[in-house]
Amino acid sequence: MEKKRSLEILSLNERRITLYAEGYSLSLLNGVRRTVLSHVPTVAIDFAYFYDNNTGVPDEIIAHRLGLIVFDSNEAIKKYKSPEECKNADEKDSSCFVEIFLEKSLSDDADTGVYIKASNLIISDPDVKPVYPETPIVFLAPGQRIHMVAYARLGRGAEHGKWMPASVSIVQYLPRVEYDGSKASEECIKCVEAYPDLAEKLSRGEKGVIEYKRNINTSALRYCADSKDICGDAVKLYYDENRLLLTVETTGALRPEIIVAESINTLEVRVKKVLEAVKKAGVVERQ
Amino acid sequence: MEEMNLIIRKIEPQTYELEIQGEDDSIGNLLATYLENLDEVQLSYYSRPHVLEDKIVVYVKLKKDIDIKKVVEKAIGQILEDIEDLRQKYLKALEKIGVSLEQ
Repeated sequence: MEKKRSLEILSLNERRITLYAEGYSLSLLNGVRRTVLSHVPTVAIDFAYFYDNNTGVPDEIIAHRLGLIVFDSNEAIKKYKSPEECKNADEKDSSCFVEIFLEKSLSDDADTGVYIKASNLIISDPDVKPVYPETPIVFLAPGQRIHMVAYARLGRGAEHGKWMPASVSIVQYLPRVEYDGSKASEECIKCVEAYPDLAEKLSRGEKGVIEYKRNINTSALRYCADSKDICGDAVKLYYDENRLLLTVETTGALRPEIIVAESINTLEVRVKKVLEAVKKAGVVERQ
Repeated sequence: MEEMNLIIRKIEPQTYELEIQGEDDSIGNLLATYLENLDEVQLSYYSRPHVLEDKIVVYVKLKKDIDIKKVVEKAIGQILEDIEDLRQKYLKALEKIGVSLEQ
């Protein structure tokens, strides 16, 4: 029998996407969710050479801060080779690496120090720019100087969190409420008053099912439904594994709709690799 | 994505384990769930022997003495069908709200 399946975008803005999926396996949606965090590539600085740094912050700390700068990767994922293809690539390979320069100094007689920010970085590719240009990197006091070259590349969150495209990636079950107003006491209706649609139906003595299509906090509803002396059989609450919400919130590196699309594509590539490996594998007896 | 290495071991009659080097829980859970939904499979689950190692082991107990590779290929075939279905529906949903991935 053909499974009834549907997918709907409940909300989408520049930061967040929420999908409603019906009829898909939880393991599939969970695979997409996990792949968002671990395998969708973005650009981040991989390593840096410091030629001069007499600021108060050691090279290693600055290198770490550079690594955490979020770069716009929407074009980069189309232009640059994958992290696997660039595994042994030379840093001068422009199909793998983006060069990033920083050279700044202040004279001894400068009035005040300045913050070096992400916007001060000179980047070889104009499509790869800091998403948050005001990100501070280091404070330069009068008489101090910094000169470094860094190399950014596509990477995956599984290698380091700095390559994760999303700060939030969650799958949630959706609640399903069966109600029977003829069995609801005044106490029960009062108990569920935080859920006005349900309370109204109960008070009208109606019987039916509410399938919520948004994320609602069901803690109070569960308390009312589970307490036999409050709602008894009037309200039954279930969490429907067949109806799921997938929410992804971007760090800014990729547009949220691209993250989901890339995640689906990447998951497919991974599954195909397993299929190829199964086809090639022989069956051995355990020793 | 790491280089993948897969070993299929027969541990008892009709019982196998698939050791997949270079993959994590996403694939383990997906594969075990789809395998368990097949008529030919009595039981399937997976484990990750060590959290710091990208290696999973999927256990499969078959109902009959049939080719394990065919069973696994069938499960993966269904996963790929579902991924394709999800992709098509996602692209349609984007189109419906007037969003293009090429923007």
